[in-house]
Amino acid sequence: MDDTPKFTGFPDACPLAGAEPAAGIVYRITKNNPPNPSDFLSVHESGRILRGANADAICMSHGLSVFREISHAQHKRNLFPKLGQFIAWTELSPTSGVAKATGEPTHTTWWCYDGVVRHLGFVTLEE
Amino acid sequence: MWSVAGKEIAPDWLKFEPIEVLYDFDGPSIFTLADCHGDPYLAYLCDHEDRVARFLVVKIGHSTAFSLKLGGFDVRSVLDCGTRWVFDVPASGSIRCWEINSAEVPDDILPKRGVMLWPELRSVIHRQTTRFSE
Repeated sequence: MDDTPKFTGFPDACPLAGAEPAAGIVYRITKNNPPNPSDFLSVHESGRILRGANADAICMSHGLSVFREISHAQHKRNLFPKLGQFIAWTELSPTSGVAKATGEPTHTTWWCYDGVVRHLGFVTLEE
Repeated sequence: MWSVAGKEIAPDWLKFEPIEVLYDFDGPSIFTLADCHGDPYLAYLCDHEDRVARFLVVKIGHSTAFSLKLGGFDVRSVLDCGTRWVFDVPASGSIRCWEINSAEVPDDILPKRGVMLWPELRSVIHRQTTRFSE
């Protein structure tokens, strides 16, 4: 039996080059407290269409966006109040997938291995 | 999602593909786009549910995106200007568009006042308050 972690259904060259084993504290905005699976769907899974997206953007749509600093999560919550009012955090482990810094300012994309129950381990920090 | 009260119109006057993504979180969330004449617009992801993403769209000037990136405006100030449109972009099926007026936009779907495009940009309101108190 092959126990190598996998990313089923990802496009070629995804996760992006430079992604490293997931580690460190991250923050994510959620609509629910406690967080539930619906708070952790990728863009691809949620069915949103990225019209005109390039290969990198399509790859990122298979991952989850998280922040490395809570102040950036707070900013995002104020910028998009309808998209979630809670801030949840966790410490990523290498067994959960790989991650890469992918944008302003501490935006990180976390690509989860098959079978990872993403919302487990996330704890709501504030509302 | 909130019920759109405006007048529904054909959506094809605007090519709904990002030209410049200004804020990306789980996909492009604030971005510029253009109509068939090349006039610029700003799209803001204001809600999503059941495989439909809802964007608020406003017409902007050619330098507005640049000013947003420099901290010249907060995002709400740009969205508060002029005619607004709502676009529902589904995972499958047709895009829908409504022309709406300001009173038809729920306040809680908009950015809080004074919130800049990126967190490292200081709020204009905060800067002005600081200046007046000096």
